[in-house]
Amino acid sequence: MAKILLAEDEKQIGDMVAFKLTNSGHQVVRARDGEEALVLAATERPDLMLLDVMMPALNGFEVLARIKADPALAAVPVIMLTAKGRERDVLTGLQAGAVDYVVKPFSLKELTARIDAALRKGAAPGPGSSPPR
Amino acid sequence: MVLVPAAALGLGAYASVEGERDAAREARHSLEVVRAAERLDADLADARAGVAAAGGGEDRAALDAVARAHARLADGLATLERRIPDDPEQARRLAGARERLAAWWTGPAAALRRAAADGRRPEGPGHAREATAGLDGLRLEIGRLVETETRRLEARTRAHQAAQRRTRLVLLAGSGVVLAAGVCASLVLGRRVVGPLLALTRQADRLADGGGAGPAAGQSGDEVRRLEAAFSRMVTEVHQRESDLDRSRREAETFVEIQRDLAETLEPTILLQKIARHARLLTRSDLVFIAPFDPHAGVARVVALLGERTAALRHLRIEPGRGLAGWALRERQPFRTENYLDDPRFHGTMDPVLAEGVAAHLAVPMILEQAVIGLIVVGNRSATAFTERDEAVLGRLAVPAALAIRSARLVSELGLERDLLAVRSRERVRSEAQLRGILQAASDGVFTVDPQGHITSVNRAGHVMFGYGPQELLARDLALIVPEPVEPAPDPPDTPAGIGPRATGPRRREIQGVRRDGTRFPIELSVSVVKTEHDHFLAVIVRDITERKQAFETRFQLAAIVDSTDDAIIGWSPDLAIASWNPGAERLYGYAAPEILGQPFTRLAPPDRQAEGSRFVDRLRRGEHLANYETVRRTRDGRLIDVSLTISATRDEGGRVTGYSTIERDITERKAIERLKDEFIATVSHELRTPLTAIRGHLELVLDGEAGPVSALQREFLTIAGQNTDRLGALINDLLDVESFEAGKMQIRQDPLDLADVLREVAATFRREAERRGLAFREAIPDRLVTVGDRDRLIQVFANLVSNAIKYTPRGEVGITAGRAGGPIEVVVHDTGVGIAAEDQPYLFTRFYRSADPAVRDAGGTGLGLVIARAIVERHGGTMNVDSQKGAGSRFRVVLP
Repeated sequence: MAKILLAEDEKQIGDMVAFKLTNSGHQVVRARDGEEALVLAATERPDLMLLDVMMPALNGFEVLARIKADPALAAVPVIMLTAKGRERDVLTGLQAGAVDYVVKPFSLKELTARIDAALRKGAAPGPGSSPPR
Repeated sequence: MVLVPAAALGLGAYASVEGERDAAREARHSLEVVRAAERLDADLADARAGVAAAGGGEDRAALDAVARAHARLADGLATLERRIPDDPEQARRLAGARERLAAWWTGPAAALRRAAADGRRPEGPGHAREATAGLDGLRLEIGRLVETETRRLEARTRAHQAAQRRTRLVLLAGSGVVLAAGVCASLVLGRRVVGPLLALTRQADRLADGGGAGPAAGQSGDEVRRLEAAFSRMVTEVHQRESDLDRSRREAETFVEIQRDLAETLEPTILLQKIARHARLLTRSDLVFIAPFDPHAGVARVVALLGERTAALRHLRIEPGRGLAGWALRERQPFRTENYLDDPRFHGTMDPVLAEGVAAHLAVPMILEQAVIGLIVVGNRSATAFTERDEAVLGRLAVPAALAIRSARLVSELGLERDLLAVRSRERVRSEAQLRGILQAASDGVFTVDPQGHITSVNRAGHVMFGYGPQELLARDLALIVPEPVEPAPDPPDTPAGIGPRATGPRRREIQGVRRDGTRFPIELSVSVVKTEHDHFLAVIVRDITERKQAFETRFQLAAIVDSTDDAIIGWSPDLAIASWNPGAERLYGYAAPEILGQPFTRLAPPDRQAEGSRFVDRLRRGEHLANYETVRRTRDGRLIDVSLTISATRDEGGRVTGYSTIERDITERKAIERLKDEFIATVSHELRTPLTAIRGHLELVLDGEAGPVSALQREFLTIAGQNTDRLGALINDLLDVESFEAGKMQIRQDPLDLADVLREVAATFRREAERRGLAFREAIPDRLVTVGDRDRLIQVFANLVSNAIKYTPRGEVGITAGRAGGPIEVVVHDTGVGIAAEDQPYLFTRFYRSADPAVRDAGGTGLGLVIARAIVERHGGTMNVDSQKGAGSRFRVVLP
């Protein structure tokens, strides 16, 4: 069981993903925009974050950049959710430190599989700059 | 009395005639002196030869010759002294000469004689040398004497001529007066004669009447006889004078004519013929010849010969001393005889002149500067004697003849004449050849046209230009090829022609020429009127200006385009300064031409692109062509604009770069639209995907039973909804891909990869699906197929092909075969499916094309898959094609490098 921060401005999609993750046994913390995501990330200390790219206030990439710049949060694995399926976006996200990238429309089963994979990888010694837990 | 003026005139005439005679006498006198002195020269030469012989110890005969020569010299000097008693200067000189002669005779000559008398040899060459020196001194003295006398001779000859002219005038006046006087005299005399006659008649009458004859009769008879005699004397005298006058006039005219000929005629033979003719006329002789003396051969040969029956004389050779002419030649003096059979100077030598039956004979040597040049000989078959006057005439004719012969000799000796002629003709030939060469080589047509408009000559270019063969245009009408009148009426013919051809200034016009095939072309015509002594003709020069016109028009069109286009067209110097600036550039950048011309490239480039210019130059030098290069420029007011540049180097005919030109188009607006489109697509895809995500996710939750139990029918329907959601998602992805590669933005990675691995992954993905549909899946993939490319994109390509194969194959098999055939990798995806109709194949790779075949339509798909797949393969440098028949399956073949 893990604590997952879900930042998604689309309420219906957020509800849907939260329903599935809760059913799968995870604890879900919801944020409606980028700024809220940053605050919750600091206060709730999630095990993993799901960031939608296109959000009001701060977009997903900006939030990702702030998290990676914060030593206390840098090690938290981040999976990007986006409607922008363009390579440029994928690359930008991965280069900025996201562990995975899921393009909408996505399969909920595929999403939970990737979350489980990221959590397993995060539990093991992390690659690159990620300090070991 | 009438007689008084007549008598005065008569006296004047007489005095004048007498003056002329005196002048002639003086001249003749001088001539005789000169000749006598020249004879002395010959004697001196004899004496000298004798002295030389004696000095060499020859013999007594030599001394005798010396003695004889001395005697002749002494005699000659005495004769000369007698001839010039009234000339103190010459007398003094002569006396000197006699003294020298005497001194010589008693001095060195005597020594020679004594030596000979004593029977001993002369003392070496000493005496002889002295004797020779004495003779030379004497010779010098006589030479001076001759010189002086020659000068006098010339002066006197001139005086004589003047006297002749005077006489002529006086006689002309005189003859008029004499005529008048004659009339008067006859009247007076008539009365005097008639008076006595009447008296006589009366006396006779008286006698007849029986009266006695008185002394009066005798008195009267004497008077008549005296009168008659005086009258007839007067008439004879006048007649004689007239005749002489006439002859003098003719002679004068002759000499003037000869003098002129001498100055004008280079050909001596003609002049000599002329002189011979004059000699014959003036001396009224039967035959005449002129024989130049050749000093080298020692013989005179006849060149000019006139007269009847003279054939034998044509080849006459006159040797000095042989025959009468030979005598004149040797003696250097005229030979004149009435009948030379009786002449003591004729020694019985057979003479061809004699053989021609010539009796009277006159031969005059031609002497110039003491050298014998030749002979003039006249002869008469009758014994009509030649006079002194004839001799004088020949003597005067001898001078121009001698001059002509000498100048001819000079000319021939120098070879001047021949060379002059040769050079002149060579030059003419060469300059004509040059002119012809120039005309033939000229690119302009050159015509000459007669006043009637007919072509009289054409060069090669003239024929070629109008499409005619060689010489075809000759004698044709110029209007045939130049229909417009070439030249208005030429200048009136009374315009003075001047000397030699004369050309008017050319008139130059641009008109139309007509080729042989009737086509017209622009020509430039230049026409000159050339006037010769007798007529005139036109010189017409034709230039084909088709190219010039076209070039002008092209340039005009280009200039119009440059001026009117919206694009900026900028010319650059080799060092990238602005050299030309069109109105489009002015509109684009805001600079007017005068303020920007000469400015550097950097003036238009923004700060971050200052080095762009030299990079362009480098690329152009490498032969690259820069087209539609997109960059940013800065306008006059500092605005940054997006421009698309096409740059080329301008080159001269030799291929050297003379500068550059750019065509610059403002693409700021297009760029803005592109950005807008990008944003729109991103937004649209986001706005579409978001609801799709919700639909798909909730369908999945229901199907997975997470929202409660689901019936079988519900499951089936929900599955269809899910499939169409996937299709919508794929469609959105494909649309984005198509947009991306059509905008040239598709990024293809160039990573090393193993294509075999890629193909195995695709096969693994689709094998299950194929088998689920009851299809056989064949796979023939080698272990490794290393290449370079974009793994994800290549997976996309082959996944598309395999999924299509499965989709359109109801039964049978699908498969992947791969291998490397030499260099490139070949991958074939085949199936045994519905195949593709021939009419569909051309559209297979076009967007949204769906076959009309229901079997195909029902299978679904976006109609973009193949388009994207082929674009990806092509971006990898490969090819994709299809081989298919309807109902017989398909083979898609991909070749990658």
